Amino acid sequence: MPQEESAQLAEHAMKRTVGAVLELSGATLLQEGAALPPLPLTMRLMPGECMVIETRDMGRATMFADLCAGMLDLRAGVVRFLGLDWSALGDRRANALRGRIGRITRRPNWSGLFGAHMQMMLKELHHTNRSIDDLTTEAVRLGERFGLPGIPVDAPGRLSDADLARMTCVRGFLGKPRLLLLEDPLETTAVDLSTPFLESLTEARDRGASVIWFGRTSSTWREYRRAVTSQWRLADDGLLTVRIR
Amino acid sequence: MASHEIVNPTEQTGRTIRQRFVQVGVPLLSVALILATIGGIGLHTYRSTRAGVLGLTHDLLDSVQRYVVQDVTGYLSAATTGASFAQDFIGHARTASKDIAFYAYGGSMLRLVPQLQSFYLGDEKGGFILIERDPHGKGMEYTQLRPGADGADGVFHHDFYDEHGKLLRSEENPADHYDPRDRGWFKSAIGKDEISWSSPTLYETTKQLVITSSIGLTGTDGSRYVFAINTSLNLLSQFIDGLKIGKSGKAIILDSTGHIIAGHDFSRIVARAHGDPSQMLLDPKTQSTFLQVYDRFRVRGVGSHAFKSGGKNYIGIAENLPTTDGWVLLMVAPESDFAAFARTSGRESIQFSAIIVALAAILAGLLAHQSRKTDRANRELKRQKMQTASEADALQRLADTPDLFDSASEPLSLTEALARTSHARRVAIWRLLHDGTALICDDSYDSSLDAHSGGFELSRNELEEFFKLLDAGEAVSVAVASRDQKTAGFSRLMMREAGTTSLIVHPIRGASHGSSGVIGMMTLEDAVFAPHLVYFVDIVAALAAVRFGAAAETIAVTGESELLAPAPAGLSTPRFDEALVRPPAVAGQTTPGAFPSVAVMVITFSDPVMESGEGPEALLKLIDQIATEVQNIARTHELFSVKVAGHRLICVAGCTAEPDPGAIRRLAEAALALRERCVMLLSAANIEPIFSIGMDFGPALGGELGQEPKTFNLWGETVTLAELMAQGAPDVGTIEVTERVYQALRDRYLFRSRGSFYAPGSGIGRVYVLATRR
Repeated sequence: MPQEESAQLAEHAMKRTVGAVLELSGATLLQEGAALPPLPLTMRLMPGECMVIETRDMGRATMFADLCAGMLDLRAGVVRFLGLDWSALGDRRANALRGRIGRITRRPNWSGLFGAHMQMMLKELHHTNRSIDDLTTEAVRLGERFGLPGIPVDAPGRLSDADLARMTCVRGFLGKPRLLLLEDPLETTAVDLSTPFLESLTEARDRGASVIWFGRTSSTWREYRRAVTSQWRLADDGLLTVRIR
Repeated sequence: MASHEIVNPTEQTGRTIRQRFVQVGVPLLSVALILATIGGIGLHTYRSTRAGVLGLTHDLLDSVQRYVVQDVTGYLSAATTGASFAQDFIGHARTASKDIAFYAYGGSMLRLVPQLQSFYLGDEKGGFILIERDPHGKGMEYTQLRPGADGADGVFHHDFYDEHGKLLRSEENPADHYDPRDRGWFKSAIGKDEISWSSPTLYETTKQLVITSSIGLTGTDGSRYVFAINTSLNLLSQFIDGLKIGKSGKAIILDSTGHIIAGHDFSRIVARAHGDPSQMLLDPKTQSTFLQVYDRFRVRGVGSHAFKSGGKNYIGIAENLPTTDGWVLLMVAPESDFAAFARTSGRESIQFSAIIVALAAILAGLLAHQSRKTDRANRELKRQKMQTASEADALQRLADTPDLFDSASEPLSLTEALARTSHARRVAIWRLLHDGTALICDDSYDSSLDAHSGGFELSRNELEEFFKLLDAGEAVSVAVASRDQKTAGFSRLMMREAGTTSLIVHPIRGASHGSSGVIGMMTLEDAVFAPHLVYFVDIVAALAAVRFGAAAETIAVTGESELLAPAPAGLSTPRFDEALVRPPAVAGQTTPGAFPSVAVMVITFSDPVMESGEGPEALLKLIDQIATEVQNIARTHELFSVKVAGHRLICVAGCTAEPDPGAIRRLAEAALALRERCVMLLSAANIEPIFSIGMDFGPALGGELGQEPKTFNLWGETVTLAELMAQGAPDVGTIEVTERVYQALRDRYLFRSRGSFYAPGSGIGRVYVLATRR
């Protein structure tokens, strides 16, 4: 391999692995009166770290996750994902970068226009050129882990809430994302998904993915406490760190 | 994942293209612009100069033409003006002295005007006198036609005079019925007051072409005469040839019918026409340019005409000659004669421009090169910055690793950090045994699979050359390990399976067993970036050296004698009945209830029928052999019980009320022995290893259940985890163990980490694979 080419490869690889995965530096929301207070938010999430953010208001958690995913305009400060400033990226690159984020939202967001299978794999189908075989293999593996007998193909409206929760998890973990923004799926589901959820979480972290786990109470993640890197609280007065007991 | 992405968000394609355009495109465009400008200026200059030169040429040619016309007119004026003068001079002479006047005038003219050949005087009665130069001397020859008597043929009487007018001799020759009145020159001029011109004729005396101009005159007695002058065309041609028209311009005179009167290369024209004036026309082959001018003249009239012939530009001029019978003067000159300096000047301008362009191109190239160089340097700086950050990050991770210098823990973080930073496919840390006979792999990390392995052993006997390389103590980098004699053995044993090509061997120097030197090595396979990471690799080697030093101390303290702990005294010989090894309940050694430290090993076999395709009898024999081996091993290692349940085999040791620290060691030894025997037996039967082993160590519940014969059973988390380990083993033939087993045996056995796993109930824990004894 020529030296220059190898150096370029290494440089490219280095870009992906060095430094913080997510970095909020004095990020202040432009919009006032929203769920998230317009206060400067600062935090840093390194590869493999798992950060738990407790918040009573899950709407606020959703908005914070939007902020991390570069979906909100800032008045001041900067939000960087993989070292790239969201505000400095064009739409095309920003959208591609969002392809590296896995997300589980509290409010179910399933469209009635496509089959569940399509929506579950839509992010990967849109952002990557992975083969259908490869994608379905991974989806089936994750689905089995979360208790689905295969990939559901019905319209999401025709599926039970428990299966929708399972699908939400599969969708979140599919495609080996670099960042997981998880609005606790364990709190509301009728079925116990904690085992496959924590299994997937550990697997993703071992791979180098970083996790932000939003939760209303500590009951859901207590069992996982030893593996949590840091604990924060998101309230009216901003983002505060909590000493792990 | 990034390789599958359709849009790579980390790449700034637009900026790169813009940068390249600025670095290379702008200088090149500037050069192109300069080139176009210089070319345009050159072209414009050339065109304007050419137009100016052509205008000048036309003016010049006009002047030349006027001068030529004047000269030709002057040349012919001897004939024209002379004729008018003679008309008056002879016409007014008395009849008796007419001949004397003629001879006086003619003699004088012939002496003074060289182009004149001769003079005639004919009268209407048939009288004819002639004066011409003596062809054999410098004097004159007077000729008179003397008529014969009574109609007889007359004679020509010739008197020859010298230059002083003295009669030298007289001759006569027959006139052959010559009558001037029959001649063209006489007929065309008799009774006319204007000069008339005859066609060119060959003058017999001089063999030259002459043209005759004649004019009629009336004597004092009323008789009519015709005076004629012969003018030499050869001399006219010589005169025209001598004209200077540009560098290579030519001129020719044609009469009104297109016959050549005189002009360039006249002698050849005459020869071509065999002396026949009527054949002396323009030849399209040799005189195409004159022909073109003549054609233009016939269509457009007099004036200058530019035309192209044979790829060359010419300027042609046609002009009527005054006082002639419709004669036309044609002149042709190549444009280059006049515009050549413009072309030379243009060519030189282009050459100079080319030099300027070449210099500009070199400068632009240098600029672009410099720009690219700066860009490369910037990139290199950026890369180095990132590399430093990467190294700092990796060191920070190492610093965060607990028990980094604890020889009992696996050096997982070292290999991972090294692989991540050097982008190597596989990184391994090898420990050299203190006698230097073998290398033991403490940990090998495969970054593509994200998996650790270890426990491999390389013997000096097998790899003599490779060990010599290591003994030299120098870091070695081999691009193709299989082709290098020293590393070929290592490549064959270790690298072929992974498909790696390049190898970096970095010795670990340190102190061990009281001596310092090479105590191990690190191998980096397909490391993309290792050449840039000398210091980092050195740091990791130093860390590994510290670990090896600590390991040496531990082993020295514990000693080899404790490798196999002695079995607690009083253990009874296992019994065999429905179970392979029945728990010795009779001896009263089991206490129903909780056992504090039970070692459980679960061996799962996949279906051998499915695997082999052999007949059931052969298989049954094989299974029987394995069962016998299990029994032997159980006896040797004093296991508590061995139970068969379907495809599973559960071996237990340490079912005692008091903790039995030796139980797990005995079980591990049994596991290794069992694995060895099973692999041997299965490979002898040509069957792939179809089993995997799981082990755990900890408290369990157990007791004898039911009525006689009572069945001893054991359950609890330890059993569950041992089963889970066996089921989840990464590969067939491997022994997967829990962290508790690892903690208990880490100082005596080599393990490799399989990673952290979440298990329901027990949370996250690391899982290890038991490789071999240390």
